[in-house]
Amino acid sequence: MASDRLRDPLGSLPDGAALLDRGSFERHDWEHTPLGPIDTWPRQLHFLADLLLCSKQPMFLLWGPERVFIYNGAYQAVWGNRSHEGLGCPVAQVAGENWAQLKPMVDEVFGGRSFVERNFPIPDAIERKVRYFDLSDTPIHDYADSDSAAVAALCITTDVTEQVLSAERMREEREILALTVENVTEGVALIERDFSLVLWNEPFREHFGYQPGQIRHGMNAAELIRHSAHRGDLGAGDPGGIVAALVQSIRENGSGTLEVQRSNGTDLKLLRRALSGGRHLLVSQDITDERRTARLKDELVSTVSHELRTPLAAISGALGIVAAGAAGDLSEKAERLIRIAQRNSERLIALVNDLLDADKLRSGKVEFQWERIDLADLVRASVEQNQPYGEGTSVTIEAELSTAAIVVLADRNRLLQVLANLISNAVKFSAAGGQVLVRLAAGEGAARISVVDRGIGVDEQFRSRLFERFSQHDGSASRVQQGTGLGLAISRSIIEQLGGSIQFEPTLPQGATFHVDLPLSDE
Amino acid sequence: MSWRILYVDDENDLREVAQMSLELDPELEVCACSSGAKALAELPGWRPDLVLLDVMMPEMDGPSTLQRIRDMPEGRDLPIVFITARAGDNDAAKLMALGAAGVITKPFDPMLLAAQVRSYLPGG
Repeated sequence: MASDRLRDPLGSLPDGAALLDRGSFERHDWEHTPLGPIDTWPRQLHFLADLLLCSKQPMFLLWGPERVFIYNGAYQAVWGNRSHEGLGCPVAQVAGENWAQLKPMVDEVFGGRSFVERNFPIPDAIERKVRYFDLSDTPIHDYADSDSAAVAALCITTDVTEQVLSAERMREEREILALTVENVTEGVALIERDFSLVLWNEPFREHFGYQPGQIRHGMNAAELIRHSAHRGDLGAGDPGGIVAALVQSIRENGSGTLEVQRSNGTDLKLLRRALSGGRHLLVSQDITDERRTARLKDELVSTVSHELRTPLAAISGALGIVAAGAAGDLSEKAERLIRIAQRNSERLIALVNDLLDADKLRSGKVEFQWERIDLADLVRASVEQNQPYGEGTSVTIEAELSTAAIVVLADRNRLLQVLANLISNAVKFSAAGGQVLVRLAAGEGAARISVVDRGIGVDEQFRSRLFERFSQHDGSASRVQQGTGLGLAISRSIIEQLGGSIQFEPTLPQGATFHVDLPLSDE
Repeated sequence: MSWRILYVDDENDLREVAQMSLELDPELEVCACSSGAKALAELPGWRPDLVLLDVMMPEMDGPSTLQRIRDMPEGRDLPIVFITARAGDNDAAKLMALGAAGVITKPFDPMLLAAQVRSYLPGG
């Protein structure tokens, strides 16, 4: 049996340590132990020593009234002892100061009781950490006289370190999870496959207004849903239907979001997420303030825009009359100044209009006038309408149409608005004498209108923000090109609400291309 | 041929500008009132061909003024056009549903206002 430098999986030995085997056991200096020379031992002790030496299981034996300590190589490895320390010594001596604690246990076994001591911690001298063992203690009686008191105690140890540590890790993880759940502002509840409630936090209880005793560990979650539905907290309508729909959606492992207004006026957002093993996570958020703010903002935007438009109407009206010469002749300088004032009042009006439009589109308040539209007609009309944009800088705007009819279901005026925005942008960023092309083509199931220019193009780092509100390509204080910064955001909003998409692509070698894709009409 | 326009708006500056804009058309004669109540008082004597009515006004707003005009024998078939700063798609539809002949939005083009109003006159 290999003995040196052997590392048993049950424990570890320092380098150079000699693991106890039959040879070293027999060579041990037994003469100077209470057991005396090995050939004088009783047969039963020989038999038990054999059992120990044959076994891979870490074990030890306490023999006789002196409780002499005999162990095997596997047990030595558990302790990680370099030498065969303590072998053949009375256990009281080996245990040292721990003896007081161990003695009652030892006495119990010698008293005839067998038992298992679970998760017993044993320090590992090598790895400087504690390992855990199940100790199975058995009294051994004299062969010849089984009624006699025990002559020895046999202890078989099983390393359960991994189990103990993994249970500890799991407990820690559970604690962390519980702490996390307790400390988030969102309400959280976890439902098992069988619908029993396994976890919830205080915000969840508060969001749904359950009394402390009303929500219990292990209760059926359907009971809670039913309670809320009957109180009118899951929206208006037949409570039975609401419960059935929600329960069914959870049963079918559906994930989703639900927004409800409780009967007390609280707005809640409820997220349902299906987890592995048929579990379901519910997360609730109180969005009352968010909703209230949104309502206030809507009212504010509408009021402010009215309050701004009325004086703006007076300013632009008065300037318009003067500028047209309808209020008498002006000096050249006065005319120039009036034009500046007029241009800027128009800019303010455009900004207010865009703000209102963007707000309406965002809150979904726009009612679209859906109709079947022949896109070739629409592109032609748009190119014609927007010619004046190009005239100032001699930029030509041309249509490139496909011969086949391309029909979509959309809102004509809104599409014209998007094209006007894209064409005016293209003209703005084109050099004098340049060309803007509006191309119409049909792909698989979708129509594509592309507005192509060969102007200054869009910087790489700006592209991701192109469709955001108030993002303007020339963000410097001395903007070369004026605009409200809302045009592309409004265009995207319109196209998406018409069921399409809008994308940017650089024109090679220079310029910008905007593609508007719309689903083709089925009819 | 000249047409009489009764124009109602509580905003003094705007009322003056709009009146001037309308009067750029020599065939339009304008009577401008600062409230719905004043317009109702003027209407039977002045006999307008069209009423141009602001929507948001204190005390009697545009829609209420329209109702009151419709209750008068002189106003039953009179074309009434709203002029409003709240001109969302839905707002315009609601105003039309009240029986208005049209909706003009503020700010308006002062050089085109008269032509816009004329389009709502009989034979316009």
